[in-house]
Amino acid sequence: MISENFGFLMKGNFDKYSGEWIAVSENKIVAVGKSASEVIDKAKNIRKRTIMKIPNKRQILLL
Amino acid sequence: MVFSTMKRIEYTHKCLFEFPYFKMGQRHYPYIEVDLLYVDNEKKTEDVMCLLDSGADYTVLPKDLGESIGVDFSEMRVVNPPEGISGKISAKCYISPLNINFLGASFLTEVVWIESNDVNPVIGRKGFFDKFDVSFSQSSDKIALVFHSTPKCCFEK
Repeated sequence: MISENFGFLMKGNFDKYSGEWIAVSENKIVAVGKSASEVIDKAKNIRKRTIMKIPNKRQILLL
Repeated sequence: MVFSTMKRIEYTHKCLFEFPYFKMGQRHYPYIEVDLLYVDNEKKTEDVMCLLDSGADYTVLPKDLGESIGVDFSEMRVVNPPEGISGKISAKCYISPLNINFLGASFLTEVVWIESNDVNPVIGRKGFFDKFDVSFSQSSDKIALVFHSTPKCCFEK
């Protein structure tokens, strides 16, 4: 794995955050928001964070 | 093995890395964690989970994420929106250079920024798939990446 945050994201269940952005650090969710900038702002004091947009479970991802 | 996204590694051999898929119910997605660094602002970086998409020409990211890491869009030209399998994107799009740090290596590439909060960050082929041989194993829920040792694209901090 790359980092502790990556390991946490691979093991956890994030279904309830479907379609939302989250920030994680030290094996916990530290911010939730509707946009990347919102979670970055909420978690601005946390240095070792990773952000992710949780895929929307009601949509099929076609890129 | 745990990697720090900020630690630079000089690869001297081909290296194989395997990552599990991100699981959400019955759906499994090939995500990787990258560190994004705008070339004009070396102080602001962000670790972001991105979908690895061999069908995308470019890396695609939401514009507000770019603003958070210091990308100045005020004088950047709006470009034609990219087209996906689901059709043309209607939001404003921009292109800028960006450093993508992954597994201790750093790649400077062009990325597309889209003015929409609905954008899922995607790592496309340009600037990434030419550094790695990527294979997707849906049956075992794993991504395998073979990194080709090209010391010029790696920097020690």
